[in-house]
Amino acid sequence: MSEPVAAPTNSITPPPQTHVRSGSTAPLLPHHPSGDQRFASLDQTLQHYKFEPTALIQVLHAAQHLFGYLAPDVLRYIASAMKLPLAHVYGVTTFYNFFSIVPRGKYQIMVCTGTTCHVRGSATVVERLGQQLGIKHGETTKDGLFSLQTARCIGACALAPAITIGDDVYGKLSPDKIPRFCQKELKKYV
Amino acid sequence: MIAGKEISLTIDGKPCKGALGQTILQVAGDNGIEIPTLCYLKNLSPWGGCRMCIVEVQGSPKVVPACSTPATDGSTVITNSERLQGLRRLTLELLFSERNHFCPICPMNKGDCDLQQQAYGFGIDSIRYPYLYPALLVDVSGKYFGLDHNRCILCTRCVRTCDEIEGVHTLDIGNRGVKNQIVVDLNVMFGASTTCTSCGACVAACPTGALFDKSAAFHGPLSRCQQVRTTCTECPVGCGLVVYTKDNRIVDVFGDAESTVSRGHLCRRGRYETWVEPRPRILRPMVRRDGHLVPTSWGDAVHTVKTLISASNHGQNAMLVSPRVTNETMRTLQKIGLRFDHIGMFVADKESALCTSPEFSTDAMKRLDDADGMILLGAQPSREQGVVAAKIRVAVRKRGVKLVILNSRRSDLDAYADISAPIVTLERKFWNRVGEVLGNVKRPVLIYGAAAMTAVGVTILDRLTKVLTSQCNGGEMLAPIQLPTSTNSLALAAGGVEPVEDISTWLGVQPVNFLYVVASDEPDGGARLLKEPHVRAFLEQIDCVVVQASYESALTDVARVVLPSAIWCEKNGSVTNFEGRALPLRAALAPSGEAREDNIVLETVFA
Ligand code: SF4
Ligand code: SF4
Ligand code: SF4
Ligand code: FES
Ligand code: FES
Repeated sequence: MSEPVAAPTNSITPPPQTHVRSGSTAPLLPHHPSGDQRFASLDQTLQHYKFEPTALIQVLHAAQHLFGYLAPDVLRYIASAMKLPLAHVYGVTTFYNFFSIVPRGKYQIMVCTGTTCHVRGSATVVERLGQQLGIKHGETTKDGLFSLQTARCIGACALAPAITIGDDVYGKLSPDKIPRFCQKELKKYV
Repeated sequence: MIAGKEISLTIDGKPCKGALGQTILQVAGDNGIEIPTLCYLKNLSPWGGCRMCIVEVQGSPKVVPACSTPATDGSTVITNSERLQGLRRLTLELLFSERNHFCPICPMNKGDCDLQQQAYGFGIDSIRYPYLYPALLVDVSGKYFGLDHNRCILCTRCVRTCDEIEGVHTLDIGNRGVKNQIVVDLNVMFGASTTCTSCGACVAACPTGALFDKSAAFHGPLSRCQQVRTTCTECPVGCGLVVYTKDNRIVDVFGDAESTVSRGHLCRRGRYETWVEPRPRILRPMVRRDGHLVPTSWGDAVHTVKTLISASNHGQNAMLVSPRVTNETMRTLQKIGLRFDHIGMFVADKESALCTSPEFSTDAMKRLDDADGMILLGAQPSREQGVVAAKIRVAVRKRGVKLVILNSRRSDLDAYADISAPIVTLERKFWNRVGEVLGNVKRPVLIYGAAAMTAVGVTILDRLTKVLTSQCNGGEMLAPIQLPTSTNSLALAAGGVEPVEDISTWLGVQPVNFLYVVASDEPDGGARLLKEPHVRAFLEQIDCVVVQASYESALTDVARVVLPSAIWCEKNGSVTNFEGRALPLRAALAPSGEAREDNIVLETVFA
């Protein structure tokens, strides 16, 4: 992400609240103007954590689960509700691999680039997988099925180089095995 | 900070004394030992990111950053060894290899860049690593300053300044590892930021050319400019300024770290508006002939004014003064007052009530640091007195201070408040909630401004005082802070100048035939006078209007004679801030064109 994403101009932010947060009473959130019910679920999570700034990561988790990814609009909603600076929320979101600020595919292909896998050629694995899928690292296939990510040590060093697709782990995937692997295995994911 | 137990340590063989809780860097500094730093900045929390300040502590195999390592009693520290120098040099080389530090085309070249200075100090003329040179964004979308990511060394001085001094936290670090980058809000362009106040504090804190003032860039290094320390006259806070000039032009304006009022911080108005915004100056005296204002000499202009005054009937001469004039001008006014039947100053909306019993809030800035509860009533510091707003934000965000706001208009501060409400008659339920919020507050402070001076506002003020006195049991309510809007209005009022709000009534009650307006350097040239109802019609009836002003405006259009006056950076003398401190004004520039300082003009005209 070296190119800043301009804020969408039609973004929806909860209006600044009057008479809120007096310590004992939890803020009453207005309904999200879009009427999107997922925001109501998010409100429940926010209330569950009492809008405590320390619960930001849990709230982001819940939001990503609800929306699939963390769009600027969702981040702005969270920041405003938790009274956190936008830049702080953005910083935390982009620090963790788990969170995505762009739409992701139905299945995450996660290539391990931890030390062991790196030594066994994970960089080439990423490259070959990308070639097969027609996407680059961080991108999503046109059909919205797969996105290609990397992670640090997924705890399967004995199987290096290792990747995960969704919840499945695949090991000993040396770069030259990638084309065949794709032909055989990717069909399973629909 | 309360000084802790005394500790002694040996630094570079020198026995040094310090206090428990101080860092190695602080103790060394207090004892005259300098350690190179880059990400450290006084008054900010230490970050410990750049590793320039590394030192050796006896008994520890690792080197430690002096800026973020507490000094311990009895330890022996070495700040300068071959190993340390080698490591520091390495650190610098890595910084240079990471992004683009091609100095000749950087606005901070030749002495304004800490990174470059450090490199010179280490005699670095080439580096041992390949350059990465990623092509990063140069964001010049902001109005007053730009952010060139290519020059950024990720020291977070800007991030911490924005968070800990201005209190808005517009900036942070986004992404991870080599992709780390300073982000604005949700990674938007600076110009699209919804939180940045354009205070420019981050720019002042940046050690490199990453954040730079647009108007100062490439106008020559600051290190070769003249520096004049003066006072901001944009509002009654009176922050200290350091004005950098070259060839009788302003190159840049920064906050004065020595200022007891502002300790180096400024708001957008003081930092940029006064010199970056284009405002057409009046450079010569002008007299109206055949319906047109024509430039003339001072001698002719003064002569014309004198003739007009003597022609005007006694009892019909009035003078309107801007509240921005200096104390020296006020003294001149007192001297020449007899020549006028009425002298008034045109204050801001509702401000005259504040001026009728002018009260200075001694040490108000300190009280803002001490309070653990704040009630803001009828004042808009984020629009008018930016540095006060910064203090309020920091208090809420960093010290957990409770904030109650009662205002007729919304502002960004509402987002920081526990309660914010309009100034209307409020019900019992509301007061109960105020009581709840301020329940555990021990040192509340009430800050009120001009808009509190309405009938409803005053009842609220009374009620608040009651709530506060009954609430903070065991604590003490700090003396309230009166926050006027106009720069020197309290001092002028105390000096006997009558505050005038309703100009047309004031003019109407006393039939005026000759009106002398001292608009001084009002940013709008005094044109706000004409916005008052009926004033324009009045002025057109008056035989003669003389306007003494710095900037052209609709007001000069109705004048018979126009006299050019000096602006803030051309003035000498003093102004008195809302705390009652007389703060010095020192001219950084010679007056433009034929402009003269207000008191000199008045003395010449009425000599
Ligand atoms: S100008 Fe002020 S508010 Fe804006 S980013 Fe810099 S420090 Fe923060
Ligand atoms: S912009 Fe300047 S102050 Fe901010 S991190 Fe980069 S170099 Fe440091
Ligand atoms: S707070 Fe007032 S005195 Fe300080 S810089 Fe801003 S306008 Fe000037
Ligand atoms: S390094 Fe890849 S699983 Fe550990
Ligand atoms: S100055 Fe200490 S680590 Fe940067």
